[in-house]
Amino acid sequence: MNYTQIQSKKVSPHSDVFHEQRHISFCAGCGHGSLNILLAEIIEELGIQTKTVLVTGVGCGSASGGLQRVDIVGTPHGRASDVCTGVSRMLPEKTVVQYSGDGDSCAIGLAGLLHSCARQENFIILIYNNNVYGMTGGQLGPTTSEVVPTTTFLGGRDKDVQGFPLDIIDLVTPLPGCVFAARERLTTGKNVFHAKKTLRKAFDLHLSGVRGIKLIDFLGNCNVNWKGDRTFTPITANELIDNEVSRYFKLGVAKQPQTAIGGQQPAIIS
Amino acid sequence: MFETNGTNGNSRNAPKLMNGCAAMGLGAIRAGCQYVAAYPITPQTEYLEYMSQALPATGGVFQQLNDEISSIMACYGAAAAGAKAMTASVGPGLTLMIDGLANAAGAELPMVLGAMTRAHVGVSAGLLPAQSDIRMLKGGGNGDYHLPILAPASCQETAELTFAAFVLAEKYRTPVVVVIDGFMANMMEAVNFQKDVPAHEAWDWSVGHTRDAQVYVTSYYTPEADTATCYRLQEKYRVMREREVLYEEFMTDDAEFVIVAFGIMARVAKQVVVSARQQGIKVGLFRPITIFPFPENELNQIARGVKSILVTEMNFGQILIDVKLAANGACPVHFYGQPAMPIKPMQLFKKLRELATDGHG
Repeated sequence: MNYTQIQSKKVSPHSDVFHEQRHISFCAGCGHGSLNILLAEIIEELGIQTKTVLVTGVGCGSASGGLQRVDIVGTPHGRASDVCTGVSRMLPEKTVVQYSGDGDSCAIGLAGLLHSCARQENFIILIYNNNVYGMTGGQLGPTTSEVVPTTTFLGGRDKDVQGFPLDIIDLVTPLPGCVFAARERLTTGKNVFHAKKTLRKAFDLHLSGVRGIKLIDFLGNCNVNWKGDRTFTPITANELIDNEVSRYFKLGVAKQPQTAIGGQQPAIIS
Repeated sequence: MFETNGTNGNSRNAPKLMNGCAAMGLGAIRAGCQYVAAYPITPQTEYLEYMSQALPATGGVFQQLNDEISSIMACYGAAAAGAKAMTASVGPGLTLMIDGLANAAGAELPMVLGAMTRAHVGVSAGLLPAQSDIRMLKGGGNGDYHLPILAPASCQETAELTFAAFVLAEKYRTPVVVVIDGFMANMMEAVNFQKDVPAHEAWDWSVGHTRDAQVYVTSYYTPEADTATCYRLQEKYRVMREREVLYEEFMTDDAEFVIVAFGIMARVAKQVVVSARQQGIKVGLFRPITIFPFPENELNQIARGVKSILVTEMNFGQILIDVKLAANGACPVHFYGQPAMPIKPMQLFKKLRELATDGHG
């Protein structure tokens, strides 16, 4: 297949990057679709289609590999940050983007992700945080909050057994090698546009040559597989994020270069 | 520490005293290795120390990562990006790498893995050498895949076969393993290896070098494509079995008994063959150099003409099953092995004499 050969109508008003004629395996109302369109639009706007390498994790997020018309590396469970390390070290001039779910990046792949921050690797990490393992049908994960029902803990996280949800932004913010950390939510149209601005900020920072990890955690729903003691529609699932899940996960930009630890500016690539 | 120059050590062509770890590093550098990510573990550490200096000197990238899992997956990334990548590890570390190796085999990514094997099960406190982990490395991960395994018997051959491993990895788009035991990893010998390769250009199928087409490197696509990959891999292994078998025969022409041994044990066995011949025992040596693809047909021919085969390994039988399959009942296959130290020539000779005087073995 050829970049120029593919001619089809655009789903998004902006993007040629998005493979809109492909079968989309995301469920109706899932925020993965929004995030993929945002990503495609930004790659298009910045004109970096041939300069981007997308590295996908395992889970629903791996389907983004079929949607983005850029070079892609598919990785096994939890290894996206490690693979990004190898790719970005060998292709320092490319924009390497990790696309993972919260299960892939914050559970099985947490060590690789944190050490990538510690080593000040130079790539962008996008996490679609829906609080559950969506692809396997909605089991509890380390990021599951008490308000999200799961198929293994029907009423949401049982603190006595599973402790507390893990906040990835809290973890990466103190690390000097992580230069940008933010959390957005993909719920309403307004929030999606806000998320796009933050995503653009991360890409701009990367392209301006600031070395380090740029990480954004996107809160999104899993309206189909949030199904413990109650079920959801896309609308009620998004309402749960806006009203309750966001109480567990602080929104906004937690870190950018001006607020680097110790007032030190991160190293600039020459 | 790991290499010393001779008196005329400034000359590039002078042989150097190197241990197996450094020889492996030398072979990799000469083969154009560009990326190493690894995690230290005894007795592989001197490979790390050698590469930490030698690789950046040739413009490559050397990284120490947080564990073996990350190391092999970073090599997966580097290979996907079109670079010649390598890592190395030992027993428990190799176990952690199996996930990455299976995925690299499935995604058809070329890379080289150095394995310096040691004794005991799980993590061991002894750190003693053994020719272990072969069965795990041949395809211990999920699914039907095999990794080519090269087993050198000297430091010189370690450099040569590491070089060859890069060629093989590129040719078949597969991870390739070079295995030496912990004894060879720390044993110093003269090494003189001058081969070079032309500058490497990233492969057409690798990401980030887009000409026209989009590139997708992965071990999973769709159920149909995954199934097609399974068949493609099997075809690759069939071709390897046909074309890439390496072995050494020593005095097997008129032999009544044949010892089968690889790596350092083949050197012990060779010495035993020479002494046994002096005492009138007609014995030969068969040394598989590639453990996969195993020299099955060649060994079968030998099995048809001898009274018995004696497999000797510094373990409890990692290639024994391959030998039995190759012999396929044509002659009895005996085994003599121990971990933690190479079997001494006298021990092996006694075992051989028992077989020889027993009539048919």
